[in-house]
This record gives sequence, structure tokens and C-alpha cells, in this order.
Amino acid sequence: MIGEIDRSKYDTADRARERYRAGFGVTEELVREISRQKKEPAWMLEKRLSALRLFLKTPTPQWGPNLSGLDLDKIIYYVRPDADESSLWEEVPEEIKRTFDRLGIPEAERTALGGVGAQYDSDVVYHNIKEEWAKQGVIFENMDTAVEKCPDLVRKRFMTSCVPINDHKFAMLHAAVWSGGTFIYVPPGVKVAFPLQAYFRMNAERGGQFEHTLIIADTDSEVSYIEGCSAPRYMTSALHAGCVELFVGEGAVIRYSSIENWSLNTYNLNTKRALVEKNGTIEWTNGNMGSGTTMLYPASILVGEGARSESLGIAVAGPGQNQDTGAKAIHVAPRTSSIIRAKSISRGGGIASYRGLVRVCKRADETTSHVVCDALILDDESQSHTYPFVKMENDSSEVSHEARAGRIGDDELFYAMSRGLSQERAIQMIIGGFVEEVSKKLPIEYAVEFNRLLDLQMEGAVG
Amino acid sequence: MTHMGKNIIEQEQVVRELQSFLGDSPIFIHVPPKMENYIIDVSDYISGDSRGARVSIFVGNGSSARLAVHGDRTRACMFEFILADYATVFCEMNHVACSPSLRGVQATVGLGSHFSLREEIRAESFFYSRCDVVLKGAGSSFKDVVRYRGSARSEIDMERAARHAASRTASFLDARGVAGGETKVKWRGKVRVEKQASKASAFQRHDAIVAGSLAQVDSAPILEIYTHDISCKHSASIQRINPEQVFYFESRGLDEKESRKEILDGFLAIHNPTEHTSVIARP
Repeated sequence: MIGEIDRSKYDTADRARERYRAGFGVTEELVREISRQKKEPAWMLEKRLSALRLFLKTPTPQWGPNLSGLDLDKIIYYVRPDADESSLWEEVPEEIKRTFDRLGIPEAERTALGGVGAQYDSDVVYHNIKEEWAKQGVIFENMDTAVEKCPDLVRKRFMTSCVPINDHKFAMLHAAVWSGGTFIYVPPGVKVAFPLQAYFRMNAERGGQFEHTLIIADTDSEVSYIEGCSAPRYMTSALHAGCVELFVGEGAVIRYSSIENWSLNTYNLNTKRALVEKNGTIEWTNGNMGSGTTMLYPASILVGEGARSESLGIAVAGPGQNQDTGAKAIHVAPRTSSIIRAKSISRGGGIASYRGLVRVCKRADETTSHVVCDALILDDESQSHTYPFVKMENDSSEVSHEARAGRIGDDELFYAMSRGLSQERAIQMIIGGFVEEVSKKLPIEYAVEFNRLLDLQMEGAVG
Repeated sequence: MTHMGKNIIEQEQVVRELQSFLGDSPIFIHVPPKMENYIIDVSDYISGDSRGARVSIFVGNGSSARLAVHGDRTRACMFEFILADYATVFCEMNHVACSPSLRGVQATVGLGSHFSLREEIRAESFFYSRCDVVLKGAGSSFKDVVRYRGSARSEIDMERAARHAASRTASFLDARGVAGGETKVKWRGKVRVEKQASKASAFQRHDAIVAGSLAQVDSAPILEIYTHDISCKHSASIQRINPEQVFYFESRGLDEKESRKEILDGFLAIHNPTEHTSVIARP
């Protein structure tokens, strides 16, 4: 399988025309300019400016991976491609279309998806939803458009109760300069059978991408959403500080999957959070394969009785990568439950860390939570760390955590090789089994892509 | 998770305060080489009006020693252990913390040596305990068994750290506790396996029962691994008193209070209490 995929399709920069490119750094003028170009309402500009004021006086967090290589004054926070949003693939400019064609986006839309959005640098260039779902009242829009078209739905939930603008330094930055992203609204009782997808491509050198995803699943509705991300490789640092807010209504289900494959010069400092109402379910599937430094801890806040959260994550840390990922579950209401399963593979000097929090609040009677972490360390240059925090404030709940870390067993390897497999193929098979839980959760096309990416990552892993 | 940094600063402050309180003149205990079953009662070394001491213990090559630490005189103590090669130390600490108590243990374990620590605490006030063990010699091992019970408005703050700095080292950390009344428990287990510690094995677990409606438990079993040819596992659980178990006892004629007591006593029991030098399974 190795060799079937060409890494250059993710890493190569494309020559696309730009309509607007901001200078380095973030200033009040830039924030006003972004808001002006997007013709935003006054409340959004006010939100951006408040967030900027908070960002400027908040220090960079000192815990977790080293962020000293990230110079926030050397990032371009807003790059607009020379293209208007279109729902016809033919109307997308040729250079941009070529990039997404190479990444297989239109093909996936035809075969597997209910709708697609594609974002290039700061703006969404293509957006389409199948008529069947639009007729049932499902809204699948570019986030910028949603601010204009659905002000009531957006204003009430955009960076308010789920991820407030003062949450942490990079959420503040995101709120100040966000651009593009996805807005999905699923009306009560509607179950969207095919997943909706968005693909985020960061092309500009020293670029920053700050897309905002807001999904509202109303009472008893269901929706699956997949995000793919990539960026070309430059010698300079790039920053991705997106924000995902999911509102799971009563009895509703959101399945959120993302495969993040940013190039190795990217700092991926993402915020993902879900607010889950009574009997609602959130299912997270996260694959982190790319980026130099990742800090990503999808959080589920279970605010309604009987709410459920399931989180499945895999992080692959290769040479020069620091994957600091994990999950959080905050149990606020009674009889809520959460399951967190985290897997990591580190090789070639890569660092994979699980950092998680389970908190059971005073009112959350009869709550259960279970956390399982598995780490595979392939060589003695690599590192694997586990930082699980458990806080219990209730006397009728149960929380458990287990973790194990180690290398591929000699017995497993010997067994596979005695059946005629080469050592490399045997290791690939064992790793394939290790991550099977994650790839099984993805639609088939993405599972194939995920497995190929993993094979590519593992190329040369056997010394 | 930002509290992690704050926690370390707070603990360093507590240790500094403890050191300044104890002064600079430690009690020094030397166990000569090749002594078998050398028994030390630490309270014999501390004067009656003292509230604590710094105790340095050196255990020579091939010796085995048993150390007992108990009583009010030891309620603020810092212990420094140095185990030479092929030495064995079993240290047993019992404490009823009616008033604020502080305890620190630091140990450096040499080639083929084994350090075993058993600590049982009943806290009604503030109890702080920190244990830091470095497995410096190849084949050295550390076994730590902790049982704690907090009642009233007690605060229990414990940290256990095992650093594997040589090959074929093994650590086994087993902590269990009950948080009753309005007890607040903070437990940190830190196992660090250095790059040179190939074929190390580490196991740590922390199980707690929240028995008081206003009790809180904050637990973090942390693993940091810098090499690959190792086997490390950890687990943590925070539970309630199982109502089915209470029902079982009640159906045999015990009332609820007695049932809860039986369940908690069983939970905190130490199996094989005399077994303290067992060889820990190695990979």
C-alpha cells in the first residue's frame, strides 16, 4: 500500500490569485477591515473588538507543548482568495479547483456525501447541499453567510455559552479574526442520512486559518459532519486556531469526525466543544496526523439529564511532531455518561501526549465515565505521556481510567512474520489493528484515506 | 488543566516551609553493610517535645532494614533514604492526623535494591504527603502501598513520584482511599521512565470511594515515557459505596451504618501485609 499515495498532494503550495492579503500581526485596524469586507452587523464587530482587547492582555499559556517557536506577530491573519463563493463546481477558479480535485473533494461529494463546503485560506469558495436536505429545512452555509442570513440563530450561540470569547488566549484570537467555516442547522426530527463535509485548505505562507464551525442539531434530529484539513509545507510557521461549537438539542445526535493533516510547519491550536442537552448524544472521532505542534482537547459539556458523550481519538506523532491531544467531559447534570478512548503512536522522535479531564459536578448524580488510553511507542527516540485529570464532586457516581503504554510485542511480530509477512508489512498490520476502532467509525472513503495516510506516516518506521 | 502549574508551585512552597521548620540538623541513621533485618523505630530518635525531624537513613550494601514511623512526634517529618547496592528497606508509616501534618520521603535506590513503603493515614485535619523515589541502579524496584481515610473537614494532599533512571527497574504504586464527610482529596501519581531505563516496568493505581455527600476527590495518575522498550500501565477509579453490596449486608442482618463500615474496611484492607519484598514482575 505504501507508495500508492503521494504526500506532495498535501504539501505542495498552489499559485492561486489573492484578492486581499493583510500584513503581519493582528491589530484593531485589521479586525475592523475584516468586519468591513464581510459587511458584518455591528454586534459581530463589537464581539471581535472585545476579543482582541482580551487577547492583547492575556499571556500565552505555559503548560503543555512549547509554543516559543510561534511568533504571533509574523502571521498573516487574513488572506482572501480571488473567488466568490459558488454552489457550482465549474465556477470555482481553475487553480483552486485543481487543489481540491487533487485532494479528491468533488469525487467524495458525488459518491458519499450529503453536502460539501470547501474553504481556501480565509474564505469559503464552494458550498453545496443536496436538494433533498435543503427541502427539509436543513441549513448548510458558509459561516460568513449565516451571520447575514440567519442572524437570530447565530447571534444567540456564536461564542456565547459554548466557547465564550474569553475562554483562552487562542479562542480570543479566533474570535477577533475568525473567517469562513461552516454553519449547520438541522430542524427538529430531521435525520440527515448522509454526512456533510467541509474541507479547509490553508495555502498562504505564514498564513493563519481561523474558520468557525457552528452546528445546531434541534430536538430529536441527527447529523454527521466530517472535516478534513491540510496545508502546504513552508519553512516558516503557520497557525491554525479554529473553533468548533456544537449544540446538541434534546434527544439529538451529532457525529463529528475530523482528520487533521496540516503540514509540519503548522501550529494546530484548535478549540472544539459541544453542549449536550437532555438525552442528547455527541460522538467525536478525531484523527491527528499532521502539524508540528497540536493542542486539541475536544470537550463535551453534558448539561441535560441523560446526555451522552463518546470520544475516540488517534494521534500519530512522527519526527519533529508534538501531538498534545485528549478529551474533556464535564458532567453537569444527573445520569450523564461519557466514554473516552484515546490511542497514540509515536515514532522517529515524535512526542504523543494524552491530556484529559473528567469532571463530575455536585449535581451530576449517578454519572458514569470511562477513559481508556493506549500508546504505542515504536522506537527509543520517541516519547509518550499521559496526563489524565479526574475530579469528582459527587458521591453517587463512578469514574474509571486505565492506560497502557508499550512497544509492539515480539510475540505478535513473530506470529505475523511466521506467516510469511515482511517485518514492515507485519508492523503495518499490527498498527492497522491498533487503529481499527477509529477507521471503522469513518465513512468508507475516509477510512481508506486515513489508512493510506497512516501507512505513509509509518513508511520507514522499521529500522 | 492550568491548575497543574499552580499545584507544583504550591507543593514546592509547602516543602520549603517544612524544611525551614525542621531546621538543618538532621538525625542520621546508618545501617552497616550486610545487616539482616535491622529494626529502627524512628520515634525513639525524636525527643518528646519535638513536633518533627529531618531523618537521613543510609542502608549499606546487602543490608535489610525495617523502619517504623508512628505517633504524634513524627507528624512533621522529612525522610531521606539512600539504599546502596542489593539493600532492602521496608518502611511502615501509620498516622492519625488530628492536627495538620506534613510528611516527605525521598529515596535513591541503588543496584538491585528494593524499597518498600506502606503508609496508612486517618486524617481529620490537613495531611500533606510527598514521596519521591529515584530508581538509580539497574534492577532496583519500588513498591508503595497507601491507604487513607479522611473524615470531617479534612484535606489530604498526596503526591507519589517514581523516576526510572536505569534499566530493568520496576515500580508498583497502589493507593486506595475513602473520602468521607467533607474531605477534599488531591492525589498525584507521577511515573517517569527515562531514556536509559530500557525494560522498565511500571504500574500505578489509585482507587477512591466518595463516602461523604460533600466530599471531593481530584486524581491524576501521570505517566511520562521517554523510551520504548518498556511496559507501563496505570489506572484510576473513583466510585461510590456500591448499593448492591450494602443491600447484601443488610439482607444478612446488618444495619446500613455497619454495612457501609464493613464495605469500607474491606476496601482499605491490605492483602498480604507481611509480604513486602516480593519481586515485582518484570517484562
